[in-house]
This record gives sequence, C-alpha cells and structure tokens, in this order.
Amino acid sequence: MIDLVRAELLKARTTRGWYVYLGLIVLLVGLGVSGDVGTAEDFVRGTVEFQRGLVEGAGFALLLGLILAITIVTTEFRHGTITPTLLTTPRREIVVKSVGVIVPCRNSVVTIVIARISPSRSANPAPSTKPR
Amino acid sequence: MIEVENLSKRFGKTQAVAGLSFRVEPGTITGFLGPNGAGKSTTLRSVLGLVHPDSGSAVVLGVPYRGLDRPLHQVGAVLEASEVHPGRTGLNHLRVLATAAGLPRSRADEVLALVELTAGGRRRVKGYSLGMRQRLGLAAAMLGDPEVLVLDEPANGLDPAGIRWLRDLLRALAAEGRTILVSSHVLAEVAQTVDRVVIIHRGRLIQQASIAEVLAGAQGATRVRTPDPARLRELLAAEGVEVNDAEGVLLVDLPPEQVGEVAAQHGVVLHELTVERATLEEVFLELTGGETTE
Repeated sequence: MIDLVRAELLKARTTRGWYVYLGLIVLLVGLGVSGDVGTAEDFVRGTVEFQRGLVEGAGFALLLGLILAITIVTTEFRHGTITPTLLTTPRREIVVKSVGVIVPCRNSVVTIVIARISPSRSANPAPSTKPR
Repeated sequence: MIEVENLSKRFGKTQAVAGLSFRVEPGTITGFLGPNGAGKSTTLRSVLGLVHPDSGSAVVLGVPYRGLDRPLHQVGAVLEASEVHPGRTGLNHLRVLATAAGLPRSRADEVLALVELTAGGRRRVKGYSLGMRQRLGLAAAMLGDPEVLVLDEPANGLDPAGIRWLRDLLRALAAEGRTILVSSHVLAEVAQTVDRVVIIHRGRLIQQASIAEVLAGAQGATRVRTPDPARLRELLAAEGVEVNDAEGVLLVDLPPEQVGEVAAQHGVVLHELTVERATLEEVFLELTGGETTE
C-alpha cells in the first residue's frame, strides 16, 4: 500500500489542478480570516479568544479537504484513470484505503499552512488581552 | 497463458457473454474478433478482473487476475487510449504507474523509448494525437515487462508506419514466448499479425483456430481465364459443374486440378487458373452473419 500512497502523492504533484486547488483553499480561508481581522476592533484582535477563533476558522480547510477526497475519486472515474489504477492494484479495498491515508495527510498540511500564515500576518500583536 | 472457461455475464436484460470458453497459448498472437456488442470488451475486462462474471472463470497464468502477486509484472493491458489524465505528461503518467507497481521510475523512460515516444514524453497528454495515446498505452502495458499482453484495439489511430511498427513489436514480443491477446477491427491487419483467431458473436464462441485454418476452410471458387470461355463453360456444364462469369473471368466451383484436366482433355487454352482465396473479412462476415466489427 505504501507504493500506492506514493503514487497518489505523485499524482497530486504532477497536475496543475491540485496546485490551483491548494491556492484556492489558502485564498478562501485567508480572505475569511483577513476579513475577521480587518473588521474587528483593535482590543478584540488582541484577545486569545479571537486568535483562537481565527485558528479554528482555518479548520474550514477540513471541509475543503472533504471536497478534495471526493474530487480524487471522481477524477479517477472522469478521466478513466481508475482502470490503470485497478490494473496495477486489483484489490479495490487497498485503493480506497490509500485515499483514506492521503486525504488526512493533505488536510493536515493545508490546515497547518493556513493556520500558520493567515492569523500571524493579519492580526496586530496586542500587548495585553485587556480591553481599552 | 489465458484461459476463459464457460464465462457468462449479463448486464440487466443484455446477455453480454454466454458460456464463452477459449484459451490463448504462450508464444502466440491471438486475434479476438467479433461484431459490435459481441462481448469482446466484457470478456477482456473479465480477464483483467475489472468485471465480475456471473459464472465461469477467466484466469491468467493459472490464477484470476485479482490473485496475481504483482499484476503489472505479469500482465500488461491496453483497454482504451483515453484512460490518462489529460493534464499530466506522458512521462509522469508512466511514473505514477511505475511507482504504484513498485518499479523504479527510470522504467518509465525505458518504455517510452521502446514505443518511440521519448520526444513526446514531457508533453501533456491532452496535446497527444490518438496514435501517441496508443503508444503511451502500450508503454504502460510494457512497464512491468509482463509475460501476458491484453490489447484492445491497439492499432487504433496509428498511421501505416505505426501499424507496421506495432506488428513488428508484437511479433518480437511473441517470439520471446509471451502470450498476446489482441482485439482489432482492422481485419486485414489482424490477418497479417496474428497466429490464431478467436471469433465470438453474441457472447458465444464461433470459431477458434489458426489463421491458416480459418482461411483454408473458406477457400473460394477456381478462377479461370481463357480465350474461349463459352467452350469451357459448355464443357464444365456438361460435367454438372456450376460456372459463373465475372468480368471476363470464369469462377468455377471445382478444384483447379480438375478444371485443368477438363481443359487439357479438350484442348482449351488457359491463361489463368488460380484459387480465389477468401479474406479474413469475408470469412468473418460469413461467420457473423454480415455484422461489422467494432
């Protein structure tokens, strides 16, 4: 199954669609988080609760990740690539398991990237959580 | 070796394959022929474990495809030239398959060279011609250097030079002892390439024989040209032999030896005395009631 997981990762790296998809996720979540930060009062932006909310907002990527999982499978059928996949790995349960391994990994990466980039760049550092 | 035994498959109300049995021997190229809807694709997909038969079995190298330890190393297949992501390069498509099969990625470059597609390997597949896609499919089939090849219409989209190249490649692979099953609608090409044919119709086996046996069994009339056709016709008619005229040529329903003897006995000059050979296409149409191939 390791070979199949490696092949799935290679698939993702060798088409433009996945990079567009990743960029779209970062853009959408980034815009959402930036919007929150931009519309919040200064004293609110500095609170731990607000920043935690931003990180949780980045969890929106999980929903997009679910779409990603669906896309992986439907793309296989749309382009007919499921046939060579099944010829290489005739046991279908292994194919499904490999997708099950890859999607959480990708989601984790995307979530970490978004959580790392968006709030830290947008939010103003506040000296304290105390309202002015 | 490929063995199909009493294979049956139904899709709803359509009986795609009905009790089909045949065997493909190592070291031979076997043509798999049948009209539209004869059940060829269903049979090939059953052999490759992509379709579950309702009954019967299809085994490759003695086991069902799904039971093979390293499928790509044992069986190579080309089913449809379009089963590739259009946004991926040909080389990367092969690298993905090689990785999934546990093969080194360098194997992708080797098989691209084998099918003479190295120059196009770094282009995206959506820019490929049908012939290039066929070559890419063949490259994918050859990744694991398999003992068995199952090819569905591999000559589709190839130009005459490409068809000749394919014929030479298949001949070379068969000479190495590999088992090759190839379906094709280009019957003239099949006749030049294959050693044996399996002809099916409405999901059932019509004939399995060597190409020589099939053509010999369909030997046509004797073709005779003579400066005195009326006299020869009269002589043959007196012997009770059926004679037809075709653009100045007599088509006689009698072996050429006997026609020659009749002519010699009566001093009739002959300019031509040959047997009309039926083509594979004619035999095929006769066996399948005139239905065309896919």
